Amino acid sequence: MFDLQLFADTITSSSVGNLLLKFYDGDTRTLPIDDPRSDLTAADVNAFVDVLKNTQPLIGDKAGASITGADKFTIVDKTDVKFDLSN
Amino acid sequence: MATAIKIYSTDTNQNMVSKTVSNANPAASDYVLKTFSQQLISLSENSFSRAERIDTTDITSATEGGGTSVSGFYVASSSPFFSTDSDTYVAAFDTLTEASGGLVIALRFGQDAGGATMVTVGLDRAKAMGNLTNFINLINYNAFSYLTGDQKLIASQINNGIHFETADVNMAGTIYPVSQIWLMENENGRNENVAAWLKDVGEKLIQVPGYTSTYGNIFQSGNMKGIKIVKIS
Repeated sequence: MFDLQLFADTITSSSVGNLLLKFYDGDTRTLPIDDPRSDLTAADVNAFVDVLKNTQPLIGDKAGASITGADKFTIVDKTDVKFDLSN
Repeated sequence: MATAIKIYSTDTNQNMVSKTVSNANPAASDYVLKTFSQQLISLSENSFSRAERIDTTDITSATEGGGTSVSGFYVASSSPFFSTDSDTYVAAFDTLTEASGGLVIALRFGQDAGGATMVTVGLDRAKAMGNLTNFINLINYNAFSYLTGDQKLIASQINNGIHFETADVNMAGTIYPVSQIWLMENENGRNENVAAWLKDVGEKLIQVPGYTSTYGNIFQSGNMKGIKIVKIS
């Protein structure tokens, strides 16, 4: 039988950048970007959105409409703490 | 038909990670999808190494890392990573065969070329239970029941598939991931009935190149490449 033993609290952190995309039919969809670069700028995000608009690699969830732009980009930081309960 | 993009990466701990973006434009060329992936990667700290389109009708042979696209289901595995304390590695999914009226997933665990521990999970029980969450619980229960020593297997639901993570725990209590497997379904084609899902995969008679026998290619090489699924009658 497996016996898991932890001897110290474990803290991990991560972040995600949520890009809210807009579609021609009015649909919106969040595209998560895992662990965004720490030096990311609005210009970087806008350049990426331009690529999306020019190449249309994705379609909307509802009617398969094309991407018209992005509404906002939000970076969310998360910290997980796994407590040591063995003591 | 739904199309998704799957992007692969190896993180700083040499764990295989992946990202699936649903609703890829079916009219977009592979060049466009790869351009999109590269742009997405450039925004991220992750150094994704490869991107590919997944179509629900694709059946492709295994590629680097043991990935196989199977009619809407994605099966991928990393090469096993050796842990620091015992060189234990996990070969993971081995066979899907018929047994006692049900299906059996065999999970192989080995420490060297000559030693292995087999963990089997009867899917006839999963069929009765019927859904992904219960199936995952079943996997976890059985794995914990069978495994000995300091190995563990964790199954969890990720996106619309199952993520198996195997790990080894050293004397200091640090957990080292040693192998990860994803069984993923394209996000637009979710099927909650795991038994039917696996039966469908089994009927495709997928065999990963370089993985044609039981122990040989896996343990002698020290590299597990994907899965072998045997057609059920």
